[in-house]
Amino acid sequence: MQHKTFYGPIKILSFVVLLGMAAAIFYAFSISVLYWGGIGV
Amino acid sequence: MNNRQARMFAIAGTGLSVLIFLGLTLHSHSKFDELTNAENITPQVTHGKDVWHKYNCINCHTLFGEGAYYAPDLTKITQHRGAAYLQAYMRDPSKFYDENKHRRLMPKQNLSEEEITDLIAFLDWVSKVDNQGWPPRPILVTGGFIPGSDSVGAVASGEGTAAAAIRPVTAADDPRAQGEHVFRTATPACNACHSTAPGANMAGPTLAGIATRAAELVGSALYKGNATDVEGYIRESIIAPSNHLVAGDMYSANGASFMPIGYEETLTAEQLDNLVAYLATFK
Amino acid sequence: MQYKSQSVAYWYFAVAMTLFGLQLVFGLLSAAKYLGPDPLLYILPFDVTKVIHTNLLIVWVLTGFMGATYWMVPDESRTELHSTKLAYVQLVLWTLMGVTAVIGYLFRYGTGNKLLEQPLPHKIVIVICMLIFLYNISMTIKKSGRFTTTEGVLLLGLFSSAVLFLPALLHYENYTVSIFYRWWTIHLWVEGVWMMIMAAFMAYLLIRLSGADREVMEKWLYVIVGLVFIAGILGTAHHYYWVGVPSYWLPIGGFFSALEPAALVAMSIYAYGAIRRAGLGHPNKLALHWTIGSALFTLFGAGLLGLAHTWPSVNKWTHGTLITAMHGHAAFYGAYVMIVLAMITYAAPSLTRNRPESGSSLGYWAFWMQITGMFGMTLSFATAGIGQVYLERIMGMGYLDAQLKIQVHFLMLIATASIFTIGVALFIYDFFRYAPRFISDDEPQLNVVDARSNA
Repeated sequence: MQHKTFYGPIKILSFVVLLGMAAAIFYAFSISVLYWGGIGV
Repeated sequence: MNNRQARMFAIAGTGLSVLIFLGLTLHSHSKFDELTNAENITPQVTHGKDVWHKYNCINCHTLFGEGAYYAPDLTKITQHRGAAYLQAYMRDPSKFYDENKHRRLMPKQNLSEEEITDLIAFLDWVSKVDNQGWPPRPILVTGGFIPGSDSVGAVASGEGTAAAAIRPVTAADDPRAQGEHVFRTATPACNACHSTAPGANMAGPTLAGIATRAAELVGSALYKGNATDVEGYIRESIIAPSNHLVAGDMYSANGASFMPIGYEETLTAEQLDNLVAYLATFK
Repeated sequence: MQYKSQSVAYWYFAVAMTLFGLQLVFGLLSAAKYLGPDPLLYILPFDVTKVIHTNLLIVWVLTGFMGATYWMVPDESRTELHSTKLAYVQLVLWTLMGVTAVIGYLFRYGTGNKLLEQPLPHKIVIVICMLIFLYNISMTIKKSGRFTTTEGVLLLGLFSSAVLFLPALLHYENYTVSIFYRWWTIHLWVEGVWMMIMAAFMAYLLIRLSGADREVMEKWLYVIVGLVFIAGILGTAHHYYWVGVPSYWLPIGGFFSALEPAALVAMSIYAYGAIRRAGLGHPNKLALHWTIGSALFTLFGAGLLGLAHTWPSVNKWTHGTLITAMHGHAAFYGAYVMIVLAMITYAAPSLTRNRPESGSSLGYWAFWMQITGMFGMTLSFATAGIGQVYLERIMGMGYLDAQLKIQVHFLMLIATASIFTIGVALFIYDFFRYAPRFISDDEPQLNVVDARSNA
């Protein structure tokens, strides 16, 4: 039935989410590097 | 064990557990009012609870140890901080903590004055709930029972001076925030001997609840000093600690307090005022 | 895929995977806030990212449960679903509910009641979706007249989930009473009826994948369900520590939650025993990895790490610290994430075209990176939490000062969380790279070797 119509959009959406995950990893990594020097015990 | 016995085990075990659980639930309902002082749940407290929910407080803080773990537990906060302090704090937390030193800051919530008052009423109700005496030792927001243990912020930001963990203050800040700064930076530092945690006496007695104690003491027959009000008592204790002695052989001998004197000279009049204002918030 | 209507599961899994990915975005954002001044303080403060992180978890795991049920019930009852149309209506409603709730949280539209933040209209939609779901599944089973034990346990689990959600709809004037009933929903879900659902999926997978004997599996399933409830129902008491309820909940909580690992040990033995005695080499070894992995990681995360801080005299010190975050991450991942991923991995070769039955190397990378990452995250939370307990609770150092001392562990948290996220990204990519089989041209050229001789 509607399988053909929806597979395309959700696949694209999944790629958007994957990009978001990559961006989040990049963000967390940048923050880690940026604040590295300020972390002390 | 065959299939049928296994099924009987599952059904009987579950049924019995459900029965006990429901029975205890019923019994708990008969105790809730007493344990939580339900008669004190005024409309103000209820509104305070709504404020607590509306601003999603529990997704950073904990209450009864429940919530997120990103901000301090607030179960007993009204016993550690007076209403005036909390009121000023919630108007603008950045006046009390420095994001660069503490590396974490509560965003300003833009609460109305009424919301703040009611939220404090709610937190005060929470602090009096009978919860088996938890936490076993006070959970402090900053500072510590151990002198010098709160110097991390200063070390982390490369300043290295032990007493500078508190955010720098300017004359524009709330007097109480400036007073807290004096508490840690005066020479000798007040927090080297005094904690602000209930029951945590160090070289000097804890200052938690000092305002309440002073109010009871001033004017009573036990009081030996010259002050007539709470602020006066605190001021006198700072500049002339021997006028009235707190009982205890570890605090004084031969009619003289062990507390260092000379704050009248080392602190400016304004610093002294601020320090008194700060300490007077410990109810 | 033996029954056409099972294809609805594909769309449930697709939604679940998308939301899973999104959940991790907000998880990483939350973790970054532990490291220092937050650049997003007034855009996405911690409370917002945290509430979205936990709510997306609940929504996508339930989406996965629903999808997996729509996949499993036709197989077990040997019939088409009662109505695929209803299943799609339910999915659309459910997804709309989830997505609008998340958008609402961005603007602080929520109840602010821990884990039950969904506004009332959303809660009502949740109930409606659950009712549609239960109706559809019950009608399917009724139509077929074939009702297996595995299904019975699953259905009872789903039905109880719906019933236990009802206390969450009510309003309580007394904060302590509202805490009391919060855990009727949340605790009895995750340590009661969801365990039932998980055990049912696990029994189904083990029967199919290892050819384990159905009689034996079902007997064990009863034992596990019995143990889960005996320990789990009264184990609710471990959420009643220090919140203003009568003191007898303390020893009850300590005793019964100490029993909770028993069911998980039984589950691991039964999973291990099933593969030892396996009479059938199902080609989908990847699904078997996820199934056995789920049993073992649950034992570690829910059983061992739960036991570590459940006794009242220990919990007195650890209550409300990152120790809870340690246990929560490992337990949820092992018990619920992994079992949903196991069901997806098992069903995927039949739902999509040209996917190798035995799983791709990408799929194995996803498995091992997730396990490694989550294990590392758990250890990071544990070290941070232990430090917090000693410094803050025992030594009496102020909260903010203690947090600075344990900050260094959050570097490890972010490093391992990144490994975990890459593992999940691989899984999501692996899921979406093969198109679903379209009903019109659905030629099962890959004949699924199935354990139907046993079924």
